Amino acid sequence: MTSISFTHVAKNFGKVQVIRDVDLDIAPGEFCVFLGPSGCGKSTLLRMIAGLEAASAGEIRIDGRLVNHVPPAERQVAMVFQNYALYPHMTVYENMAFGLKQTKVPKPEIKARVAEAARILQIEALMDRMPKALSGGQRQRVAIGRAIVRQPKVFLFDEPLSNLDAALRVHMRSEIASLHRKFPSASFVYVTHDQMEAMALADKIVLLHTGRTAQERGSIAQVGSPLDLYYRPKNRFVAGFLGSPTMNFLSATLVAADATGATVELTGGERITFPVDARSLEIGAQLTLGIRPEHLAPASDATAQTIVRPVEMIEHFGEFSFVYLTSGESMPLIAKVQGETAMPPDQRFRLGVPAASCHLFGPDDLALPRIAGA
Amino acid sequence: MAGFLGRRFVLPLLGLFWLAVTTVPFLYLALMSFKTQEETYSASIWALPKSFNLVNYEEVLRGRFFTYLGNSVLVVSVSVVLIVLISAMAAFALARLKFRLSGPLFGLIVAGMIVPVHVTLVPIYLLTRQIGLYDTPFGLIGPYVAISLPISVFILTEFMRQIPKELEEAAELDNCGPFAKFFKIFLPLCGPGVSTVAIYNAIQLWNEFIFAYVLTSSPDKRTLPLAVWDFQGQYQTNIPAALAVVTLSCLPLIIAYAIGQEHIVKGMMAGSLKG
Amino acid sequence: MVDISAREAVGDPRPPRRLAEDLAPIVFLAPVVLLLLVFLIYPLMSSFRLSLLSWNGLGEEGKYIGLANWWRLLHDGLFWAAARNNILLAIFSVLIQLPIAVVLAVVLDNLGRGSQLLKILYFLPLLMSSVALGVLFKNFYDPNFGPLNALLEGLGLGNLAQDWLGDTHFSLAAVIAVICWQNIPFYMVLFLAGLASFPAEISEAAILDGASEVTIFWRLKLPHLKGTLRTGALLAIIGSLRYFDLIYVMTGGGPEGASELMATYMYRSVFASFQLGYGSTVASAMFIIVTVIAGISLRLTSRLETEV
Repeated sequence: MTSISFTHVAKNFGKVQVIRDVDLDIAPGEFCVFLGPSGCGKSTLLRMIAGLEAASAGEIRIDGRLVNHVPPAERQVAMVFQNYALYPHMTVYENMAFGLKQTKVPKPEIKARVAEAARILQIEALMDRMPKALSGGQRQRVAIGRAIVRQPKVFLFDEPLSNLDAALRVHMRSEIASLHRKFPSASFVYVTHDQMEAMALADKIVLLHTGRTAQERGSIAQVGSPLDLYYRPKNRFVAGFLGSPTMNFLSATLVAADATGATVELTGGERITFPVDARSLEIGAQLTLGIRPEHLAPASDATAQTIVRPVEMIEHFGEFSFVYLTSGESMPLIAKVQGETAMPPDQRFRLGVPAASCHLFGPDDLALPRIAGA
Repeated sequence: MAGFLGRRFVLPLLGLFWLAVTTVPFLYLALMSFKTQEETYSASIWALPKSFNLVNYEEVLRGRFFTYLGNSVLVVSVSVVLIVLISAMAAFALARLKFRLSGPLFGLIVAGMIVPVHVTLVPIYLLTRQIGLYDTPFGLIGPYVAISLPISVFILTEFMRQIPKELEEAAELDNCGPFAKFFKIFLPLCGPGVSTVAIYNAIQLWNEFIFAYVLTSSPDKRTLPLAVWDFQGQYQTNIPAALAVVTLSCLPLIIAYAIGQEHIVKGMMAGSLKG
Repeated sequence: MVDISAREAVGDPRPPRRLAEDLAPIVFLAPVVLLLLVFLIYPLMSSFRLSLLSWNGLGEEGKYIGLANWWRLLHDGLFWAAARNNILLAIFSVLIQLPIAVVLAVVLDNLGRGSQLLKILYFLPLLMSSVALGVLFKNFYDPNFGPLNALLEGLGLGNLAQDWLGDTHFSLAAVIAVICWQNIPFYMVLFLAGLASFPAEISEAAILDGASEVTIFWRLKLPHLKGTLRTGALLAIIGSLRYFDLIYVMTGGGPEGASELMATYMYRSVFASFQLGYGSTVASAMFIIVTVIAGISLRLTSRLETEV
């Protein structure tokens, strides 16, 4: 049983293809986040669910019903826009009631539904105000209220928090999460370019990539739970998109591969072994080793796998520090080290490389498979 | 130093000079309209009237002045309502609905702004006679609406284009078809544009002369500018009475101006969009 | 974070089109199209058709005489004198109104407090109908009872007093003066808005560079107004070519055609001489002349716009 399904969906604007070959199922009650850089088509994908854009190819179904040709108002979806899109000439009450009036819902029921939504969002005191008399957060609530009264099967959010300041954004994020708990049977589809928002809210993240890669491999880079994407990125784009600072990528040459793992040699001559199956590649192949800054830890000489590099600089945050090391690549190697870290006397830093946290990407930028049980 | 002198003396002097240029004709108008006919021959022209006698105004108001005024109010208000409604509908379609002829049609309508209306005078005169509206205030409404449409469509299309796309999409999700979208969302949101269009056209039509002159002939069917014209013929030798009519005919707009200068200036400047 | 948006694309198959949506453009545009057809397009074409007739406007429609009216127009000195007056009016409108309007805009821009009141008063002439204005100034210019000559005599300039509207040398100039008096405040407000949009930071930067107010005006603010000035000139030219009201009320085109314009000549041909056919020829010629000149000016200004 799925709530929303995409089958081979594509979207062209003139000659430009922004969405290519999307297959996706979103379950009832699931919180699904479309994440990606700007221009990846995540908003377009959302708007295709709403019916504000037509799919150029493929099928879109809501609750099993083919909706490609169903008008937006009849799709039982509700949408919260990035700039709220409240009708400026209507009061808060009228804004929330408008859609119901247009669908000829009886007046007492409109009143009841609006009152209920206002109660949930705690905006009962604002019902007679005009939108321009509201703060950003209040407008956001009204926009959400307008969605709630429709009792939709699907809530659509198009970057709803990007117009709010940072503190309010975190607060509203938690409100949206609690809203999801209040409507357990409705699916939430949420578009954002902010990975923190995606990680915090999503049951399922759909990470989209853009440009040439999308043309070659379809728009979807990876679908999965937030931790899935964090720990098991399927390709270098996903690995680099999630996490901050971004994952370190180091050039590596394959020196050995067997059923228990692979060994690579870095440009500094260090050999690293970890449980990834690289048997499909020839020895000597040029690969990329990925390791997140937070997985690199200061190490003693005795630690098994370490690399030693000169320190370029250290940024201090109190709780942790970023250590920038010369990597021999275009980007410095960054390690996120817990607590305070002083510059070592010889200005060199030894870091342990935990085998379980290493990712290996082939020449095609796809991640090589992990060996089970490792 | 030159800048300082300019700012302190030259510019204010220029300002006062133009104030005199602007107000002298109005002062003359006001003074004369209170004088008796004899005074205009005897005393100096710039002398104050002996007493502010209202005899000229009484005489004018006893005449048909209020008929002219009523006709003007009728013709202008009906025309302006029609202009606003029709041009807003067209502007909505041109700005928001997708159809093939949208671009060329907009160009064609806007090109109507440079057509000299006098060219249409004779055919419209013949047409008005044919359909039996000659010498009625209603015969003016058609031409008045038509000559005002190009610029009104132009102004309102600009307005409609500026309304955020998201509001339109929200309306689509709220089950609005094109008609609900227009009447419930776009028309109310174009308030400032609508008032600009209404004010601009109301003033233009309130002062319109040539169509009113050609399409009506009897005094009880004519509009206010024609009151000035007709009375002028009637009072050829009575300058104070003629100027009392001029004063009275200007009064409604001046009162409106006293109430809302900002809006009227803005409305009048809508004409500058013609470029 | 703008994703490529749908509506900017061409040929996008919007999904759910109901019948109402297909019919909507027709319904919304029908009134405008209908009214413009009846009161603008049809009259324009009809005017050309009437120009081929000889007709006094009474009884049956007149006799078809082919291009005879047009031939007559080509050799009609009165028409060309009227066209020349239109062009004079255009030239003097631009040369008189725009500079004075710029000066007044600068005055108001610098006066600060009090400028609002001045602006309100300056604007008054624009509210007057041309008939009211015409009657007022006819009396103002009256050689015997008018205040203008009285004023000149009072100033000891009695020898300058004239029969302003009755003298072929002065009538056109006298009316142009009134037209300018009425329209200058329009351009003044236009330029005032242009000056107001001049960024204060640039003035401040120029002051820090040691520029005087005068230099700032000539070197920075005036160039900033260039586009607005062009719009103003365009409006003045197009307006002058189709001018009618004030001339008709004040002089009727006289004396002896000295202040005749194309529009007043057209009007008199039809409604005073009852030459409906020939009057329509004049009207059609006027349409061609105005359209061509307006088209050229529009093209020229937009070309200049793209060059800048």
